[in-house]
Amino acid sequence: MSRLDVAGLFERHAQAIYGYCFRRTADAALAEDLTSIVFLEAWRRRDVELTEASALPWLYGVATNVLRNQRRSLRRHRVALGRLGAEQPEPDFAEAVADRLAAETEMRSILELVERLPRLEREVLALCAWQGLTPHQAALALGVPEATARTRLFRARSRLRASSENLAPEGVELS
Amino acid sequence: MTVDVLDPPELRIPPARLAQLRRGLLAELERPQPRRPRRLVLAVALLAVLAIAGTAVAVGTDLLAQQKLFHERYPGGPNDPRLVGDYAYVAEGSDWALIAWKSTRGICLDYAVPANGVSGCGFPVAGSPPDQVFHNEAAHAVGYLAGSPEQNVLAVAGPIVPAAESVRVELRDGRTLDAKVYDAPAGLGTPLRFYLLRTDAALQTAAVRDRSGREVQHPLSPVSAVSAYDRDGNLLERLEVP
Repeated sequence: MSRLDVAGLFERHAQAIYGYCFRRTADAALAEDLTSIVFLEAWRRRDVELTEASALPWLYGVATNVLRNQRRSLRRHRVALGRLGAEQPEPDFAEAVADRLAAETEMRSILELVERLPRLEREVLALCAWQGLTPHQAALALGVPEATARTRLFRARSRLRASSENLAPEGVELS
Repeated sequence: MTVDVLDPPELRIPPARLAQLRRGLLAELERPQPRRPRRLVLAVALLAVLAIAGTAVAVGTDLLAQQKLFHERYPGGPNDPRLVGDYAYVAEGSDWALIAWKSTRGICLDYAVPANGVSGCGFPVAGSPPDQVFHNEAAHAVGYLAGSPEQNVLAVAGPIVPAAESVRVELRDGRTLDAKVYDAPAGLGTPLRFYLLRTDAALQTAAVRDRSGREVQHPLSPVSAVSAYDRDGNLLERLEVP
């Protein structure tokens, strides 16, 4: 992959990766740093052969590894993150901050429930239920057989359903 | 508060910020960077240096037992190495030891002194046991680990391919020094050899700005390059550390 290829991946998929990182951390600023790290890591692994269909699952796989090893990833890329620049002020600053805080609060509540799941099930749930990947794509991202991804997704949904039945009236809604 | 677990909120990076990140990323990619296996070696070295403060586990002067106890007491996360086989001395002095062991992350090296040490794994040197986590292609002739668990003593060590007979270490302070080379312990079951340089050096740091604009000190690798040579003095590989 060339630098322009990585830039192209960023243009096409940065928002999706950011959304994934945000939903896994409930921290918008951290999610932004992790998103940058995912593409820095993509550059480090630029020998990989990608197709248009495999690029996004592959990036999710990189993001999943970055999330699993957050502290190490942040430490490794601390200098680069510092160079990427401080945040610029935005128009409608107050409204953007309010939206961000509301999203973080809601996401933290969701993560409190989802983090009761085993890590491997949590990852498949996030990729399929939150990011819209098929089990096949999630399997590619995680480097597991598709049957394994399907099983983990089934178990995750079953556990969430079971835990919702034990909650007080103001609890989890499952579609 | 009622939340829908399967329909979490969506948050997007504002377009202006996204454009800024893209520009920053492109600028970062323009910087000279080592290819992935070298970055892994560098990361191993830096992690080892940063781990100094947390490794104080003393077991008399039996440094192998000390390191074994340390790794058992602090097994780390799911991607951290798990022992395969046993620990073995590569070299030792009156108050230090270089210890090698096979793990799920390939060959690991510990440089230990009483109550302290540095450790690194996953060196992608040809002939290394495979790294079961990152699946690096083991294609290099030399790996390196740098740490300073003793006051003002820098240890630089690593595995080298059997064809390598000498290793030269270039330090960031301008010195170029020859390391000693050792055969692998018999029980390790690997054709690799190892090198070790012990010298005086202080850790250097550089001032960088974090995201909030605050200036922080970031540790630099004390090593700027490691070169491996065969018996005829031919260069097998030179790893540069940015």
